[in-house]
Amino acid sequence: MRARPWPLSLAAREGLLNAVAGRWLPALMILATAVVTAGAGLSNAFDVSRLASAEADWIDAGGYTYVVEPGGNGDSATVDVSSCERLRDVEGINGAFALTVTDETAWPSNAPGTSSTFAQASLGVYDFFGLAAPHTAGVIVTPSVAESTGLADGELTDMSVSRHDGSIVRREARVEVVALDTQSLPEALAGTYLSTELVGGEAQQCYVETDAAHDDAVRGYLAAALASGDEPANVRPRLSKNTYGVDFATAYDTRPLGWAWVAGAVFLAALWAIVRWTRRSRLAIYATFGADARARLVMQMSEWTALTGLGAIWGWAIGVCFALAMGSDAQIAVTQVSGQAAASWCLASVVATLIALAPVGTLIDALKDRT
Amino acid sequence: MRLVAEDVQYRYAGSDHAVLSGLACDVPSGTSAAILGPSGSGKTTLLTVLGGLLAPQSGSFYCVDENGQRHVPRSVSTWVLQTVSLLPDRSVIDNTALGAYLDGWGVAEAKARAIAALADMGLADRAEAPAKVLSGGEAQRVAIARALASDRPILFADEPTGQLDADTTDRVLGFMLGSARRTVVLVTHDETAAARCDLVLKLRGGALVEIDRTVLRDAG
Repeated sequence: MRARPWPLSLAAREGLLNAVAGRWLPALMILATAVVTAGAGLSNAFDVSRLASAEADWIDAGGYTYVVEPGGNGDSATVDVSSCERLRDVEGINGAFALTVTDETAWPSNAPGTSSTFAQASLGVYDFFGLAAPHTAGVIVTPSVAESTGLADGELTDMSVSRHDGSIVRREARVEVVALDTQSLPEALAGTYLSTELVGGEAQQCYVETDAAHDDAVRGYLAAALASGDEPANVRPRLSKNTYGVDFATAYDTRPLGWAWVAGAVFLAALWAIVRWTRRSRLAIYATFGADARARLVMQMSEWTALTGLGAIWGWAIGVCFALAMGSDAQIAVTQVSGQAAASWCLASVVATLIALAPVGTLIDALKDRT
Repeated sequence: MRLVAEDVQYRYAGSDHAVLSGLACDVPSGTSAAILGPSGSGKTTLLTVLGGLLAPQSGSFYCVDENGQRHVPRSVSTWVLQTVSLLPDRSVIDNTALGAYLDGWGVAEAKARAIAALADMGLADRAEAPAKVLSGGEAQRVAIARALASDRPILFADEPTGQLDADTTDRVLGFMLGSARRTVVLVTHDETAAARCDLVLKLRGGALVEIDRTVLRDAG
């Protein structure tokens, strides 16, 4: 027997016309979709922003930074400055410098009554802290020292260095002040002058900064890279992972709100199932006039797409705007709201497709119980 | 388009007796047939089986054109249903044009045919009204207009004039039965309406008890 299929263009047009023909039901679907997508996206934008902010603070405070020290037990054990500096060329290492905190103190000529610990660092310290290296010899001044001495960035001063007991003045030199304004200063350097005199030889420590993506690999690499003979170097994180009480990667992966899109999709699909059930007799009318399963699928999905697509776009716009207005990072706002909205809509659409494929039941029953 | 049913049996799920039992009938192409019978005799069930809306548990039914080609009933038929069968949120003209769309007409032509059919039903002035605001009689005439706007060769109608007054019934039946090319099968309790058809199929207890060839008899 020859069956003449319903034109799919007619089915799509009927779906779109049905979408705009009703008043409250289409408005409800659009509104519900907007609320679901905006809600899921907005809650995640806030959640991820909070996490990203905490991680940024942690990184600023020295997260993903390792302190590499000689593996040997003797006080005379050291790390090689050149080896430490060369780490800056290794993939995944964002900065490295060698450091020796001396038993000397220093003071500037404009504040002779002051005295602070004198430390020596390799040149990598400038990149490490994002500082511009001066054209002449420089000394990095930590915030507390700058405050107590009145030294300012770019200022030229004569530095005097002596033993702690003040007995031997080793040298005086004219240097350019480089002020350091960072939270990530190691505790050992708080209140010190940091001279970039280390261009070779040995140092007490090597500071290495990496990032989340390379953290494990770099940590494993350092012990061997800065080994002293057969003795692997001692590698310890500058900050404990638990400084902020979380492992950020795991915290991101295990966020309960990350599944908000599923809840949103279930809600939308359930709402659509109710709408579809209340409209079963209309589908039966179409079926009576020859609309086969394929035509009914196209009809329902075009209506679904028109209503929920509009709602999802609306919800996306609301979500992004509110997230931005409430201080979320733009990239996080866009990616989180977009991701949640798209995932929620796609999953709900899959369920809506399955709902649309469900049989309309006995046509006579569907038509007879029409109210 | 000729309609044939052979030894058809149908029993609703959960029921212990067949609504249709061993039923056979033949409605020649271009003729009109009325199905008469008391309530519960299986009239609507027979109509829906002939129209392919219900599949019988046994027996066969088919519709075949003048060239012997068999067709799926739902693809070549249009319906006027006993219940209100309009899309309530859509306009009267949208509902009516649906019949013409199925024949492949474009929007403009389908709406022109819909307007013409609504005019035949005396409803041209209600074309833009939402279907949900119509009275029962008006809705029934819109359903008939939808069928008339279609060129499909078979028209199935279940109590098409049940909510219409006598004058309107007379006029509506004139339009429904007026096409010589179309095969019409209608269920009715109205013997006057049935008498205007070429064939009257009388059902009792799910069986065909009499075939009254009104036109042939009158002509003969």
